[in-house]
Amino acid sequence: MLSALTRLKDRSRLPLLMIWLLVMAGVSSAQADTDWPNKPLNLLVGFSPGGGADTLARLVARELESELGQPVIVRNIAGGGGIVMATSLKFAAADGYTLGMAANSAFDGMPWVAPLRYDTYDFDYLTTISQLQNALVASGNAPFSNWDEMIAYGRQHGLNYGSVSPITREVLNMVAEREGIRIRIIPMRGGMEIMNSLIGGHIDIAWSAGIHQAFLRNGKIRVIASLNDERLRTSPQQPAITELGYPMGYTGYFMFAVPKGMPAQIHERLSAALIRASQSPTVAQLAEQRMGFPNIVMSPEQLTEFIHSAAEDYRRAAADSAP
Amino acid sequence: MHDLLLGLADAFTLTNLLYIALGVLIGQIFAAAPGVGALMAITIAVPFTFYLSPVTAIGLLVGINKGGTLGGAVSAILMNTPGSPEATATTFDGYPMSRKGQALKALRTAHASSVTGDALSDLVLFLVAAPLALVAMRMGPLEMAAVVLVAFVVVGGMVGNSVLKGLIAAALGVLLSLVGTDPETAGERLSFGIPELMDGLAISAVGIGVLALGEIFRQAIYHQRGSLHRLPDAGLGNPAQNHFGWRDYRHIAPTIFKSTGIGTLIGAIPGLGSTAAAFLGYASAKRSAKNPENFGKGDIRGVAATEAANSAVVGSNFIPLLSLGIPGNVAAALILGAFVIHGITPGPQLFTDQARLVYAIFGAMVIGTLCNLFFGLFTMRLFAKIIRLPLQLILPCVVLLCVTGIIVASNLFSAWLLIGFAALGFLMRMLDFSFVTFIIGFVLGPMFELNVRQSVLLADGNIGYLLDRPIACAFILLALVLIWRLSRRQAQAGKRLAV
Repeated sequence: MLSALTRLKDRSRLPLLMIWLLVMAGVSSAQADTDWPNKPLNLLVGFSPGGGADTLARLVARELESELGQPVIVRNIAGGGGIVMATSLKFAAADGYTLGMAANSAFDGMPWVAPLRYDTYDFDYLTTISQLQNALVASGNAPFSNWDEMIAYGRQHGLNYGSVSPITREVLNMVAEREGIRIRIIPMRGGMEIMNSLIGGHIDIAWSAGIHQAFLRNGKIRVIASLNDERLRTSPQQPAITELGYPMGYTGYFMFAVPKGMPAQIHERLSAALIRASQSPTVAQLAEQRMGFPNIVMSPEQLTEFIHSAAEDYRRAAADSAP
Repeated sequence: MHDLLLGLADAFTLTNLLYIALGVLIGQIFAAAPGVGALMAITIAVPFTFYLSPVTAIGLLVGINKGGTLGGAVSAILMNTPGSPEATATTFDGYPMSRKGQALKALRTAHASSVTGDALSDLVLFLVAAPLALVAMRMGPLEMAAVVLVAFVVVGGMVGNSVLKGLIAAALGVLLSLVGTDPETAGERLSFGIPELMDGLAISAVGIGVLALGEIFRQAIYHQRGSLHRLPDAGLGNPAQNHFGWRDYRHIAPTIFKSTGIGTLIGAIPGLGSTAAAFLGYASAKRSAKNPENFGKGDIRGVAATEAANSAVVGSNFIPLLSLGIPGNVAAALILGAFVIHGITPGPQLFTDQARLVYAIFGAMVIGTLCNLFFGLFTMRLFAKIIRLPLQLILPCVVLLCVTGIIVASNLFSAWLLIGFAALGFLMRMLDFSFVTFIIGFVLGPMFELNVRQSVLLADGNIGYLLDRPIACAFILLALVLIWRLSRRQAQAGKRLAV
């Protein structure tokens, strides 16, 4: 009798229990949104430790820590111009605890020029830290000092071009085809190696994302053209690639992305905190004064539109050049 | 001159002294524990340096780096488990010395050689950083490829019983170094679709696995079987065997100077790093010795040659770092980051623009070397006492350190890699394959690949490109001569055997 009663009692409680569980599950998932962040965040940085980009990311991480009250653990995943980091980021949970930092080309351009396991639309884009100062550069001792002289020299001797990623390679392939020059593309590991290879006379020209600015003053490096859409702040005399008859420039940013599908509430809070961190005086000072990169901080909407439209350009260019 | 005095005054402050001393101690202790390493200490310390003045910050990091090169010898000598590839050659004679009951003497030798190599290399940095940097800049892809070729040949020739097995191990090392992303096309290679492998196999997992954990597996298994061995007595109770005095120093001084020269040169060339320097130093000492058969059996010169060479890299590594902005290894890359944080742009203009700061950093390096000398006198004796603990206590602690260390430094995936490579290291020891050529292949493989590919692209099918480069030609010639001499020696040895 007693056991039957308890059984009955149990059975009558079962639906109640289930409802209660459902409610709790709902509450706790709502709670996960509201009390985010309740554990440390991971920031994946697509650059090797020690360089300017990594330093910028680490400074933002420090500011973000004080914004959110949780530690931000920086992990360097260098390689392939950010694609290794972006691949890892794609497979991370979209819970607001993992975010990635790289140049935009890892997200908008790379998927169209290299065989990758992610594409542009696998991510949400949060904000930028600074604008890159992309330039086509040569040694201060080069036998040419502007675009036309370079083309003339290239027609006679060919050119050796130092490149760090498939994107930077594509640009010069286009120039080679259009101007009828033989350009040999030499893979390089990073900005400093490129600067030294130029100064040491091992290559003729190269892509620089801005590191060249430290070498302009003593004349070791000269800028041939801006590869951004507009002329560069530090080299206002040199034309932009868009002025030389090419359809598009390669304006780029150091920026933050997260795996697609993060809860809206977390998205809002994380991007607001990131924007404040990226605009903080320490970050701005490092970017503007020490690295020579304009501290341009975009909203998520602006950045997303920028990335999606750039991706569209790359997709079209890739489709055109496909045989 | 004015800048020199001002800079030195900036360096010699009480705050700096305290931070540098702290750095040296941290470096020694972190590096002495197998599987942890000074690199991790630097990684952890970098964020703290945000709050310090530039000279103090760089002093702290340089202190850790300097302490680390000495500390790395400790586990290599006492337990045959080098914490990082650069200390591998220290085990060749350091561990046999330990087994003979001369652990403390081996540690003191390492201390004396390390500090001497470091100090002399610093001196070279202070005096000729600028001109040497110009030489380094002349080293293009072809020159670098040729230098790596020489390193391969020298290390390959050093390896014992079977050249074929040595080559197989080296090829395996190179093969594993190819895992990751193609430097030219950014396509994935040998990564089997695993995102963690896109960046290649972590050097820490491969190094610690094969070098340290593989040896621990071997020791643990033999220990259980009872055929081996109590850890040898540190000989603390036997001062006669462990005395290291002025006469010993004079005995090893020529070896130290030679290794220092090798280490300094290699440090000045960006990218080769302390591992190559250590092996080349060891090989050169063994080759020029009158009785090379003593090497590997506990010859004090073996320890001296290795430690002087790998420590000499630390100072001269700053030549490409300061003058070209190229870090010679990961530790230097992290220090470069600290420079950027503090608004210092390394490069040719640094010496003219910020001479005072450069001299202050030199001053900090001098303090670091002195601290290393001073602390080493005490810590070496302290470390030697570890040996008195029973093996059953030490081995589990070391395994724990290795595994947690790798998770902190890298990720959980690397911990599985670590176990896999420990198994590989164990097998290589059992089957008598050289893990030395394996590691050298793994460390230098990517550099060799990239430089060869760059050279081929630059040459564009034109042999004139090679003939126009005397430095590269000289190194290639040197490699050929070395191969010829090695094969002749082997042929002679073969004949003798046949008779």
